[in-house]
Amino acid sequence: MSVELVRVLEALPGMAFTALPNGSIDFMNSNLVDFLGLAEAVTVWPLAASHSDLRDTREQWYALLSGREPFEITLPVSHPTSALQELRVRCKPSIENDRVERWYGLATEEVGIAWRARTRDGAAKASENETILESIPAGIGVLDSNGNVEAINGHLLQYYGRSLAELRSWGRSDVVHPDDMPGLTNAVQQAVVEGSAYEAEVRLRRADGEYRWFRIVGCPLADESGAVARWYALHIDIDDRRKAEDALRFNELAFRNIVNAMPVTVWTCRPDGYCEFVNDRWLEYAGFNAEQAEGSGWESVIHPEDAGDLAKFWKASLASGRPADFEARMRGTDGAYRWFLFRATPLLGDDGEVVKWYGTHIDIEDRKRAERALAERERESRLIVDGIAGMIAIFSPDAQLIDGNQQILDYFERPLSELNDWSSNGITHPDDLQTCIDSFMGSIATGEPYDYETRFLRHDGTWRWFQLRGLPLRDAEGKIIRWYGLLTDIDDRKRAEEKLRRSEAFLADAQRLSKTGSFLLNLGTGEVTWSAETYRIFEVDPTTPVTLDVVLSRLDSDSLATVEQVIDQANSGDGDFDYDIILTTPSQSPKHIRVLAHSERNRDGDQELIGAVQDVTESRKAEDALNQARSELSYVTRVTSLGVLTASIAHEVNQPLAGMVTNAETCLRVLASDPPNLDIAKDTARRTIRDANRAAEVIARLWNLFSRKPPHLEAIDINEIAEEVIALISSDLQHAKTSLTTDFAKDLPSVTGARVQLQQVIMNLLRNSIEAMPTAGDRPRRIRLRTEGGLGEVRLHIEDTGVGFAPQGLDRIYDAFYTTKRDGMGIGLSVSRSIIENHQGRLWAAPNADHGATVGFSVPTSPSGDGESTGGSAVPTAGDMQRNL
Amino acid sequence: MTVRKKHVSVVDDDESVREALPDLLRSFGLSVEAFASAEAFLNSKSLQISDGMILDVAMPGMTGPELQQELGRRGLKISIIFITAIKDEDVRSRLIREGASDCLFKPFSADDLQDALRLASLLDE
Repeated sequence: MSVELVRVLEALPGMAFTALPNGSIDFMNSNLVDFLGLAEAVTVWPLAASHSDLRDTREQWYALLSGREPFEITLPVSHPTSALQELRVRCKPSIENDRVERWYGLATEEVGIAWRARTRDGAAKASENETILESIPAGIGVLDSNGNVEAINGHLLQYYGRSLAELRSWGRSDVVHPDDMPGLTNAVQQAVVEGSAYEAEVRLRRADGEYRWFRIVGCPLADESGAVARWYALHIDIDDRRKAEDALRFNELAFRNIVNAMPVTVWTCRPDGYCEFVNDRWLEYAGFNAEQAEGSGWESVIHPEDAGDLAKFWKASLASGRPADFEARMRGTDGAYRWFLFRATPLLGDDGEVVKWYGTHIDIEDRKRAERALAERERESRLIVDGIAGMIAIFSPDAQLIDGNQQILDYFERPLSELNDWSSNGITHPDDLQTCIDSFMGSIATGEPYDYETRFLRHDGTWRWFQLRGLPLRDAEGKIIRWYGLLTDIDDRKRAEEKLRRSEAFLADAQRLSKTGSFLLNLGTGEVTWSAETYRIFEVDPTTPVTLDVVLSRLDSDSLATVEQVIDQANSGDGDFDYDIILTTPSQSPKHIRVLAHSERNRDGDQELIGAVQDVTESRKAEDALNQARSELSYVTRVTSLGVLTASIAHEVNQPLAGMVTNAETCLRVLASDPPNLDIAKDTARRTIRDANRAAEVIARLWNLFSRKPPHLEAIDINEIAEEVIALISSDLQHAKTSLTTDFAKDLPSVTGARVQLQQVIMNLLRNSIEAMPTAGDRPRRIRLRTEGGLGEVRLHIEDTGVGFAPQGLDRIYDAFYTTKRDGMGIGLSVSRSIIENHQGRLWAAPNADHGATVGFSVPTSPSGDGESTGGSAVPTAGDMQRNL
Repeated sequence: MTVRKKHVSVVDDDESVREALPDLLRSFGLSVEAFASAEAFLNSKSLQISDGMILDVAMPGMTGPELQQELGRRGLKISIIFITAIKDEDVRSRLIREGASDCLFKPFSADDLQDALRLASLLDE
């Protein structure tokens, strides 16, 4: 049997069944099953007659079903509650292919006597109505046009367990629950007045006294004239439904109570987002009533800043039907907004469509506030970190760079990801790299703070020094969670340090080289501070603390007295000191020390002696050596000069003497001859006188040259003094087999100077030239002396063909003792130069193109050009010269 | 028999000697000519006719000893008496060793000169 048919049969408001031609019942609807008091449908009628009747009825049932005509039959059935035990059954066959396929039947209760009596008077039509009334398995009452009870069907009579007469006066009896009576009477009266249908739900008293809920639906039936003839009132038992509804209502109430009691706000919405319900909690919070919140009323408490986003999200959720969380602020009754988490969950129907949205608002203000506070703290931390005048680097426990402040980014102008590769990307100075890796990775491994210095490459390509200090941040269990590194730019400091170091090194070098140490003696505390060189001078181990006793123990007795006196004076006030002491050092001979010191009060109010000590032992020695060299030199000079002088005197004086002796002897001889040759005697006598005068001149010249008179300034003719010198040196020239030619300028202006000194210069230059003559070879041995004037000066040149001097010798020829001659004394040139410079002149020397050298000097001409000088400012005085010589 | 006068040349840069000495030598009966330098003597006729020489040691240009060497180089055998204003015995002995007849220190007496001339066989005994 098709499901559709079953559904129809079940939906019928009466008792229905189907049967097969063989007499078995193959379907009973639930109304019929209920009526028969069965648990489930059965295939044979549960007949309740005596044995013989039973068999007859059964045989009749089977006979009828084997036929093909519709029929009616009354079956005595067992019924658990009703007194009526007869069931009127009407069946019709369903014929298919000229064969009865199945029987369909309706069953009704056999109506009671009252109904039958009444219907006996009715027309055929009424009879049919009765049949219908009785066949409906629900209570039916018929009211006349005035609303009075006209008839009641068996079903209803059976329910009430009362007679029709009793029920006619229902308005005054207890068949209707007193609470429901007014409603029902009003409804009926209104229907009568208006001629309309009426409806009511009332409790009716069953025969056993229990009130059950019924729905009474009265429909008016009009007669031929159109006026309402009667009402048919159907009584439908809705007690179970009402009870279920009550229970449901109770459950819902309980649910609402629970929901309202919950400490969260709860809401529901329709699938379209229309808010149906919000719990009390929400209403209390927002200060709304339910009506105000309904629909979209709740939206007015959303913070304006959040409303847009919330609406967007909510719309999206409604469209997708997926659970969703939103965060938004809602305004409370106090006007303050708090953050809530809106959590919406859809309830889906069997077809997967959203039936309803359920949601909650969870107050997350505290969390939000904490988040805000955290964000603020982070922002502040960030500000602090960014505000620190240094670069901050944050590392993970495994040494990965995970963050850095703005300064570090600004310095390198590289992203953090690149900075993490500091050991390989060239931002760390190659010379420092190993130190960095060792120090940093060492700390990472041990958890000890790190502190080291390195150079980092700034974005503009310059290296700057940084001090890197890092500390680990540990959690409660002591585990390292972060490394915080501070990079401080110490480049300027480093440079200053380097400068200071260099300056100290310079000072130390200077002290070492000059053998000058410094010291500080605090006379108040007795504290002594020494520089490194002072330690060296005193020959004290630099690691030893120095005391005044150490100082004093190094002094000889005289020096000790000196120092003690100095300290006494320094104690009594400020002053300067300059004294010499002698140190007795363990290693060597006594050291001569010069001390320069100054005493003054320091900031602490102590009197201090600060100064320098200089080891002058070497210079003392050098001075001594120089003094000795000087005396030796003067001796050598003296001896040499004497030798030269002797030779000169001998030569110059012996020549005229020789002439005189010869002349005198000749004179004697010619006078003694016979006859005496008087002419020759006269000649010889005259020549004798002349030679004697010559000898006297020589003596006078020598006297001039070697007398110890201070230099006499006079107008000098250079040609004249040169001639005199040539005369003096002629023996040397002869001895050296050297020819000398002169080329004197005519009308040479005079110069002012010391005659003898200038002659000494010429003598020196000539002697040097003579001594520079080659000792062997074919080269001519010539000297040419030349004078010239002009340009306000007089110049004298001496050109020789000697060995000359090497180019490097040019710079050195004036150095004392420099000489090209193995046994010569070079002192002459330097002395000559100082003489010429004292005359405001110049002395020069230059190698010749072929052989030898040319030396010469120039002397300014006298201001007046002639005569005696009175010693003006332009020319040196005799005193000046003597000093300078 | 006629004995030719011995010819003696005086070479000295000093004028006093050149003036005084020839008169003395003539008084000894010698023929004399004086020269101011060695070069002047070498260029003169006296070079070939001189029997002896009074020769100054130190002279500008060619010195006395150099002239002595030069004469030896030319194979001229002329007796030489050196005179010098510088009294130096070393020089004197060296000069005599090298062939000089004698060496006189200025000033010298007429007797010393006569002895030297005799020694040089320029004067008879």
